[in-house]
Amino acid sequence: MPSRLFQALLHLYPAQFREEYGRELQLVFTGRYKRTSSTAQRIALWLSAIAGLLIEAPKEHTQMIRQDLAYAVRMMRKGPLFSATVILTLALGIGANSAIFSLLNTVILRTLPVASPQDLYVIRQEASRPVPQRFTWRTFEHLRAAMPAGTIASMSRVARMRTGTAESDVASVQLVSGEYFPTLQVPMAHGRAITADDNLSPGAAPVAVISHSYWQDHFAGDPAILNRTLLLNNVKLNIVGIAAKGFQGVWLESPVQAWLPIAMQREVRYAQNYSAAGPGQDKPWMTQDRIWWLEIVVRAPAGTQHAALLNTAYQRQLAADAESARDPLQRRLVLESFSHGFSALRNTFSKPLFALMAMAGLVLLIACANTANLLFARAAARQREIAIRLSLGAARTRIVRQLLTEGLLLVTIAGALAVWFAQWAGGALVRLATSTNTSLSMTADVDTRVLAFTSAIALFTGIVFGLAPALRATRPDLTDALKTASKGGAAGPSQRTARGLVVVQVALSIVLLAAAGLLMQSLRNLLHTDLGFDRQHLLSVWLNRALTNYPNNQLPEIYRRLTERIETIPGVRSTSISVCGLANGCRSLSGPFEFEGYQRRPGEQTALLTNMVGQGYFSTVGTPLLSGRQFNEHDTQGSARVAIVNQAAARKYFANRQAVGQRLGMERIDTEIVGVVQDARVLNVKEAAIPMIYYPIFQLPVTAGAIEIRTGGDPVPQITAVRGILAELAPKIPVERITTMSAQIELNLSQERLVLWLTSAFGVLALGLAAFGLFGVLSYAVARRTSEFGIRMALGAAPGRVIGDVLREALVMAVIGIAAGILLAMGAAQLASGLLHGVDPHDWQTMLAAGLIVICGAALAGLFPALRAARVDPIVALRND
Amino acid sequence: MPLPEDFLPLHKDTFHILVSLACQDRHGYSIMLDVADRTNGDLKLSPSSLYASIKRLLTQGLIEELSERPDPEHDDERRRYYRLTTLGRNVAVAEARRLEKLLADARMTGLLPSRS
Repeated sequence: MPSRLFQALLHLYPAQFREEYGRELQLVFTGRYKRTSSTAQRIALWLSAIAGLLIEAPKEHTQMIRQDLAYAVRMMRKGPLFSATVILTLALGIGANSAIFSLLNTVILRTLPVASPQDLYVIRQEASRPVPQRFTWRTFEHLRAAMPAGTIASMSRVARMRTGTAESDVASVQLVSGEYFPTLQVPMAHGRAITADDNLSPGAAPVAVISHSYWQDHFAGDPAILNRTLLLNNVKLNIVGIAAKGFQGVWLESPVQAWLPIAMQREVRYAQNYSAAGPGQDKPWMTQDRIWWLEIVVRAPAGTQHAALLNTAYQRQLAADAESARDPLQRRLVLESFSHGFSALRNTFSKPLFALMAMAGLVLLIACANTANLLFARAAARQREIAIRLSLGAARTRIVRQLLTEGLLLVTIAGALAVWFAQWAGGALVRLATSTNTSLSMTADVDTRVLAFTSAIALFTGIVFGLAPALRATRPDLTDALKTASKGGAAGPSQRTARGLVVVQVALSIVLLAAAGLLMQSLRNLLHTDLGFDRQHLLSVWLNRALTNYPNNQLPEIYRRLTERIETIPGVRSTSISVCGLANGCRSLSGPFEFEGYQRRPGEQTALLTNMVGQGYFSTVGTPLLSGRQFNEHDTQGSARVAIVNQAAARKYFANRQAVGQRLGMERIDTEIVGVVQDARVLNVKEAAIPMIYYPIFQLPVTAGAIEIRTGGDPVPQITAVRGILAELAPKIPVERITTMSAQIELNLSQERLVLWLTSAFGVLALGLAAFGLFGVLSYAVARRTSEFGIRMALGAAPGRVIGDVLREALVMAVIGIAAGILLAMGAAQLASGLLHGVDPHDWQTMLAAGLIVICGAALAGLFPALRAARVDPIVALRND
Repeated sequence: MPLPEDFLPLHKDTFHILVSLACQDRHGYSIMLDVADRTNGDLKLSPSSLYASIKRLLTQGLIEELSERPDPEHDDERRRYYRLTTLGRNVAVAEARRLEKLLADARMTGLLPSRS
């Protein structure tokens, strides 16, 4: 029994050592065991035996690994071309995966850099019909009172605020409650956090906490930073703290540079992402009960009853509120995980990212198939060496282990290259994916997760694709190998496998090429969609509404003078103004509307997308007027209230009636529809038009957010003149940005472009690898058949016939691969059809084109071996035989 | 051909194994018993460290494995026997000399009493 147990323990040793000395060790152990006379002695013996094993076995392993590695390095040096090919192939395959994974990691997987992010939740509201998902300050105060200290905080969205006069002087700012930093458990690197006292009354505490990186970048890490002044939207704020290094807020794509007390909202003119009912938006929002603008975050570790506490408090508040008592909506608060923070990119980019990850996976498979083929070929070439070693008594496991070490060494080098590649490619990809946020971008560091991912796939690749050739090369039918190997070319038992792998590569590259083709058409469709306005020769000037510093009653005159002057610039045809610019993220919904002759169903949302526009707006942006009239100079403050709706609104609310002449309104029906315009994708190229209403801007009057300028030709040369006029006539209207509409639309499509670009790169890479694989297999086949070709040539075969034979072989593999690939591609495209805009996932032309490209690639790959076959010198070939 | 001095100083386990093979060829268990005997049980080699040393000594060429059994009568044919090579013997002697000199030094400096 002790002997058996000791024998089992011997498995800690490498097999070779065990085979050599196992029996001896066991004999020694049993000998000593027999001489023991007491339990104490036996225990001592066992302890010393086990201790010895635990010390010596790892030493033996290390020694063996060192030997294997030394041998592997020697083999690598002996075949530098082979090694370089394998390493490069795998590095590309693994690198593609690591790069996409680091993007995926940044956008989807990474949690907020705070303590226990999994305990964080954001509060959402469920009700019998859609309700605002943000809250008033008063609701927050109410909920806060019900919760333990430091477990609930509120915050605004991230706003861009001016830090100076230039267009580029901006900072990302967030308004937060005093509980923000304690709830997120973010410590201060210096100074103090925003406190509850800073939020006691509107405007009371002009203080700011800045991020560590903002301190470093904009204040050069000034050690005397505290109590220095930060200017935001013309408000002087006292810097009281620096947040912990690495913390940049909770919005993935908008790293925050400064946090201010919520009470500073009116002073810094924060006015975005809110829902409001009734007037009072110009008063401090903290004091308003009808402005919903705050997100609420709670820290609720498992086992706490925070959700119940919140709901009890909320119901109490609702019961006390006359408005909600009148309109009971069965409101209920729910907690939504906030461990990853907010991200718009995550919402829109998840699907494309997973698709890209899958495609990168295909590239890796192709690279692996190539590597396996190369390793098979090399194992075949070394069959004689291996056979001799086996016949001399080397253990099979020993040789497999050594071949595996060689494979793993190659993969490890490839993996290291891949990490390096991922490091710069990942960062570049993140920048490309977020190019809509012009000056700010998040970082895609290669963190432990990316490293672990890369190591895992590299290890997997090394083991799976190193093991198969190793096992095959050490198969026990030695004599065959010894016999055939003597002829200089091993019999190709792996030829069938190799061909099979090439077919797989061809099929997979078809999938990638077809995907690239479909995405290219999809992007082209998006670029040529009828937007409902004319993107060509249109210049957009975006104005900072918050900082526009003129009394409202002067605005109409200022805008009139501006547009008139801009129209005098040579090349400018017409100019108009609006509150929301086109395709720039400005989105304003208002409602509920009542329409004359339209019966609202209970609970129906009759909100309309809203914009206020100047005279000649529609002719300037190129949106056709379908009936009625445009706004004109008579639509002023004193005149009857008028509006223009789009087709979608006219169709929905005035189905069978002529919309022009009908009336609508919000609190009362007081506005007449004077025109209907064509639907336009005003928010985003990818979003179809929704019911929309336009008001004349001078009827209200409000500050404009955009000037649209129609030019006769390229609008870029006019930018300088426009800028000059703005500075001269309206120095108190800060310009945010001037851009051509076509450039803005390109920017809207940057994600699609990135996906297309990557897919195409993968497609080309896959094609190259597959062609290389085909080339390798054919070259090998030609080399093996040298004597056959020699005899045929000697017997008078035309070189053309020989070339044709080899090429046919290439094309047969290609055609089988293409057929399988097209089926796969159609299935894959069906799965990913959500990413395609107006493209049939089974588009036969795309499939055909992909097939043709691969045929060309295969022919090219087959040409060189074919030519070599045709150039075989019969005499040399026969002599060699 | 490596010089005996290249191997010095020897690990104490190694030295004991070489000493134990100096007078006769032995198998592993016998080496262990002999070492335990000579050191009054102070040095008990574990099977693992014994064979790790044997493997190393074989690689270094200080000992060799016997192809025929030395003592057919008492032979346990399952066992593998080891013998000191000339190099091994020279190394062991060199190590013994080194120790001897150390001892002499210790006596000369009065650390140990001189032999009477």
